[in-house]
Amino acid sequence: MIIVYACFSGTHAGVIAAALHAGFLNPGRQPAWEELKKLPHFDAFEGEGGMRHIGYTPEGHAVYTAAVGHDGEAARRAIETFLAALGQDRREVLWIDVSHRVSFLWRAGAFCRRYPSLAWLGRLLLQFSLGRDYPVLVNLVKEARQQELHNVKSGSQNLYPGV
Amino acid sequence: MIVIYHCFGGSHSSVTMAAIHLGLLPRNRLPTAAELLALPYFDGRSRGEEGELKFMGTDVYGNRVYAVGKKNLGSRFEALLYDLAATLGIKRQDILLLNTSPLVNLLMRIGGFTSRRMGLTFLGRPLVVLGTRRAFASLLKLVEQNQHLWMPARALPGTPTRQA
Repeated sequence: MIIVYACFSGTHAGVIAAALHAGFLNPGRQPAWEELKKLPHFDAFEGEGGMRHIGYTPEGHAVYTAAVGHDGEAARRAIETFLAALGQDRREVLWIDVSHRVSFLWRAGAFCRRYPSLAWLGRLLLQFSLGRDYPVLVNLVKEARQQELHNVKSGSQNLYPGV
Repeated sequence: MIVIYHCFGGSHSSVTMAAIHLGLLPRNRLPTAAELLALPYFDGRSRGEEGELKFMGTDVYGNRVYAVGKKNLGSRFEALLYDLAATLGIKRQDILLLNTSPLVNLLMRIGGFTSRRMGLTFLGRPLVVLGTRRAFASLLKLVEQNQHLWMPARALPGTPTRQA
């Protein structure tokens, strides 16, 4: 099984969620910006998008982020039907879309980070909204971990917690 | 191999190219409106189906052919699917993604929007059919330019065949 956290560019909210899941961040303490910058692929150039490997869960499953722009639902359906077309078990991928769970300010901040002239504003917005959005991501990851353990133990078909 | 034609909505250019690939449309003349409208999923996608790969058929070489609408995913779509396949251990040469969006003309865009988004099929459908017929030569050319990617080597034109 692999675990994929999807967000707009795959380089902000998705990375934080993936890092929480892989144990790189403390869910009980809001991380500083410098701590986030050390995470793999955080605030990186999006390029063509795609998936980025972040780490492994305590259960040994690989954790990735994915860039889905504004079309998280289309991406989810594409993944689902793509797996079926490949003859793969749906349980191979635990897909969590975090893009619609973060605040507008977070999304605005991530948008600004894409442009050098607005990067400073983007950082301010992200740092400001982290206080509101970090607990949201922590809870989302908690649900995802429960789903991961449930999938491992029982082979459940429910792959989309929090959707 | 699976071959996936993708465009914005998954209803027109991708379906048409998949149909050309599968031999559902003629290659030596323009298809009629009736032939286009008879294609599965042509101008037929509903809201809520964006992103879904639709199976169009299996070609003579055993490749499974799909059409899909990627909406605004853009370049992220191919990157996502290729990366996912790689993480699952699927070989890159077992999947072929072909973007038909660059060949969509204005008539197809207007007609598709009118028919699918606004629900005015009586207005949009004739426009999209006309647009597709105008783009047909380009769509056919793209299929022919890429067919070496899914045809086995022995079937390629110019490949020497063993004499009995």
